[in-house]
Amino acid sequence: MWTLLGIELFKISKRPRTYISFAAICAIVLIFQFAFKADGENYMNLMLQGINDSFQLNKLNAMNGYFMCYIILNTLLVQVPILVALVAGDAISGEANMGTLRLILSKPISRQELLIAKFLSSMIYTVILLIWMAICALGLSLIIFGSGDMLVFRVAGEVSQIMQITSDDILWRYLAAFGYAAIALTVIAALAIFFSLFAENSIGPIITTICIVLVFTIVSNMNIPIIDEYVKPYLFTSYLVGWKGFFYIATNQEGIPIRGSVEDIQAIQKSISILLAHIGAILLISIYIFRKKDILS
Amino acid sequence: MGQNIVEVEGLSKSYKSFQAVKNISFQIERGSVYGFLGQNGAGKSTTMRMLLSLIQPTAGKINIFGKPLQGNEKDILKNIGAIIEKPETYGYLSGYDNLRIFSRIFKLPTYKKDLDVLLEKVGLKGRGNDKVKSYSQGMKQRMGIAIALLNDPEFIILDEPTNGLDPQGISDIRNLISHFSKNEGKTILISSHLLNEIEMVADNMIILHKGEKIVEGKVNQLLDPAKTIVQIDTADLNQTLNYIRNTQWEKLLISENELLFEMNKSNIPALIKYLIEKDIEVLNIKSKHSLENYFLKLTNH
Repeated sequence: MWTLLGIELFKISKRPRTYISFAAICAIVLIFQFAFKADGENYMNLMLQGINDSFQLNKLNAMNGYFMCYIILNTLLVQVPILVALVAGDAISGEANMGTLRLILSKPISRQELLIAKFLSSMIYTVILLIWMAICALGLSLIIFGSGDMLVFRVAGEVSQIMQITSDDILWRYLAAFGYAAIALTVIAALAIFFSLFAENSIGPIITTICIVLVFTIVSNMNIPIIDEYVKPYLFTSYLVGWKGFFYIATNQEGIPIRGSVEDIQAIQKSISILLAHIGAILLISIYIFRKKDILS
Repeated sequence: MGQNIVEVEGLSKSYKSFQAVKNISFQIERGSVYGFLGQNGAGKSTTMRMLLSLIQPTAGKINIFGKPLQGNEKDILKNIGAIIEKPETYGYLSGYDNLRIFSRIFKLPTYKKDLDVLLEKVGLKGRGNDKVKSYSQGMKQRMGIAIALLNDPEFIILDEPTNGLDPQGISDIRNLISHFSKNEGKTILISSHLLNEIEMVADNMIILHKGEKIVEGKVNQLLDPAKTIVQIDTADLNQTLNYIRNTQWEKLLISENELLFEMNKSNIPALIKYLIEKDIEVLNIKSKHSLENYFLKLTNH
């Protein structure tokens, strides 16, 4: 099992497409940072349109490294699933396409172990991608824009809210947010691997996964009561942005933020459980199908 | 375990209403070379894939090394080396990296000197650092064979190993098969759609057609020279027939329309001599084994 995991990681590390994602993340982050550095106030106005009317802010003071990272994550975590699908969608279908699936499965390994090794390697790839994202979005932003207290803007329906998190209370929240994002993106990886079981080239699974993420995300963002009640709770995309919960700080009776707190930890725990359940279910179904599958490629 | 390394009984494979393999049984003796002959779609690759547990049979039993394949796949596959159809490897990796990956699966040492020995054996000495995608088809075939031989397998499965190779490559593969069989005592299962391919390397053979076993036996018995088909073209067919009437050759004649004889190969010179003595202008002589004739009819050639 660990040997297979090592082999899968080695293969991922040797494929040029693996590094496209790292380059893409770096490029997007740099563009954001350049734009904010060059013309920060305009971009702040653009991004905070809904809040401008309700609050008077010195936007340039609010624009520090922590804030920048939050803005980048908000934008980038929509694109990262595509990058994860790019590698995970190739896991089985890419081998089928190359003709190496029959080669590796004619060796003394179990299909279950191979699939788990492929899943774990995709998960490790996702975590490394997120670490890279943290280095680019948080590390670089702190160097370029400096640190300080962080303002979090929240618009829920018609209510706008600003929360201030002190600089010594931020890093753990990012750590937790990246951890949460890793779980959320692992659902995408599991889904892409599942679709790759049925294809003999990687384009199909990658596009199918991306389409599902897009369609489900649109449905998750709809405000229709019947969908809210009967559909959204079952869509994994409803929980993909749950990482934001770590930045919604709880307040005391006087409305003062409580250091080290989050507003609704139970909602975060519930979201994590649902995402983990999705991963488990997709993985079990994938193993069942893969064990029965005739290798004809 | 006895003398048989492989024992297959009543093996079938269906895809919905299509039956790819129909109730075939065979045994492969230890140390022998066993040939599967059949045209494309005859069921050769499907059967070989079932022996490697890549495809689940619909019915039948497969015993390899005296154990049922089902439930013992990992144990059994430790002692099998295989090339199925085109032996594709990881093109974006070097030859060494490809060998290292599979060495690790077999928990074998991955030292360069060990891999070099193997590369030399298959004629890829000095190419270990090159990416496999830069290899020619023949070199990829050799790399596939190197991977199949990594674990020093007792039983080797080669599915159309000479496909797409130039004459030199074909000859090299034949020599390798012969070396492994005669010098290293390996048991080999080889498939081909060419009779002469099987004839040159196999001890026993089976002909598959549309998923069914048509013929099975020892190659030297099935290709008995006594059953040679001789086709003779002469300038005047009727005159030739007149000279053949009431001679020893008449009873060997199996078709008057195209002068086909079934005879022992050693009698061909005597027949030619007889025709020349009768001043018959012989334009062309073709001989093929009756089994080949039968196989070519099956394959519509």
